[in-house]
Amino acid sequence: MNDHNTISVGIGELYATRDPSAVLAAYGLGSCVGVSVFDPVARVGGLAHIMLPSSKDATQQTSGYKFADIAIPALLQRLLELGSMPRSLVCKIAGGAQILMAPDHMNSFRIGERNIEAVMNALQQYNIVPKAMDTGGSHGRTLRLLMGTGQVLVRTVGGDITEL
Amino acid sequence: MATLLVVDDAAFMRMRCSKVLKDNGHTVVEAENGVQALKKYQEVHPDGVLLDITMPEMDGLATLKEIKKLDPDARVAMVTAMGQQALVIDALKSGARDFVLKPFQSDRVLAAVKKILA
Amino acid sequence: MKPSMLSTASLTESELGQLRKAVSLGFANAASGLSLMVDRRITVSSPGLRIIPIGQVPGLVGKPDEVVVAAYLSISGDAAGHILLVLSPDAADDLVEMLVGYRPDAMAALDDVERSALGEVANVTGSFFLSAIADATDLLLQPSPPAVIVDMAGAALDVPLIAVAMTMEEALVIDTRFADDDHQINGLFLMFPDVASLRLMLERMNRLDE
Repeated sequence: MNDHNTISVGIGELYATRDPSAVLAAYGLGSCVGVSVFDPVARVGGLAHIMLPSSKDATQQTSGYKFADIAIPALLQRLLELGSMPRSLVCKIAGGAQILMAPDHMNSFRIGERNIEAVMNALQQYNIVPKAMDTGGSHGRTLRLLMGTGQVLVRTVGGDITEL
Repeated sequence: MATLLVVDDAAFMRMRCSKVLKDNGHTVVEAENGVQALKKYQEVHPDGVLLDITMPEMDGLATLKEIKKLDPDARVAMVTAMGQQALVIDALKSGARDFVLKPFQSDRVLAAVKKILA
Repeated sequence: MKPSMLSTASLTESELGQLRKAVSLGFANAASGLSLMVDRRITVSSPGLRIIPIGQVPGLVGKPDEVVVAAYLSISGDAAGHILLVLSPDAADDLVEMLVGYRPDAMAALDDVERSALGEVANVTGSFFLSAIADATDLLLQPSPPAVIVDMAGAALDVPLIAVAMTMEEALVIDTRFADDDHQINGLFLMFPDVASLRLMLERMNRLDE
């Protein structure tokens, strides 16, 4: 894979672009959810790397983009500013796993599941339903949005790469 | 020689400990956690117990206390990586007769067994 | 050193120095524990104390989608936090072989004994680390039983990072690299203290110094 124009979208980041040579990547998604949105007509796309469901969960004021309820509207807004048309948007998501590593009380927070729910709800506010999803399970994933073609590729820890 | 109950959540540690004991003529029964340990203790009535501290569900200190309730004369040695003073004192106060720090040398474990069986 | 979290926690330069000293002792103790396990000399690097955005933490461990072997334990008792031991799959293979006597067929499918051997490495190093800090602060610090996973670095950091992200933008990461003389065994030992706990630890260290 040609990585020379890969933009890594880290935890709590989001990125939108019109650059057809760009590859947007959210690496090592565990319970985090990578949300890719692409407008095949306007050739505008973006990626958000979401870590927590709701800004209301935070016990202190922290800034937004790691929360689904803030990142999704912000991403869609950026795409709009770049010229996207709401009705053309294609959304694909990956992640939301439950990494089996924590003492029971942390597992019971089920962050992965709640992240997926929160992302779906936030998208729903804009009448967007993901066209494809690779979520759940207990292993990590990497999501890539290829701006040139609009393709979304997911790599799993086993090494397999599939197109969403 | 003696029947010993080895309690540790790590299969690797049970294997290591059992080998040392079996190689020295003892019979070994294993348990993965405190709940299992209590069950086996009642079934088997071992001559002594080698007990880890850091275990899920019921840790070694809680298990020690429960074993002592079952059998006030229970002979228990703690075998653990947790060597904090506070824990050592707590264990000895709760009736453990010896405290072996992991990673252990074989002869240290055998010495502990000798001590608890005495 | 970014001031944001430091100022939130009001850590002074001298407190950082104390923390660094305590953590060095902890890591040195952890190294001696590992040394006893594998019967080799283990050295640790000078500890790093970093305050970095959460998103940058996976990068400390390797490429965020690089597959790593990680053993995790949480800290409870008088203080809270997380400990993570991270190794490359090759280094983990070597370590398992040293401990168990045979090489795993595949890291992806560790058997009980192999997995628990790695868990026990985390248990010993984590316990030795905590014992040193506990004895220096007179606090009770208990490790949870370890959990071992083989996954992408980003996913392996999930648990500590989510805990941090609930209240902070940035993570306080304390880390050291450990290795034997041949660099056959080598890996990263990471610790994420809960900020409130840090306060308490420093207070205790001060009190005991008086």
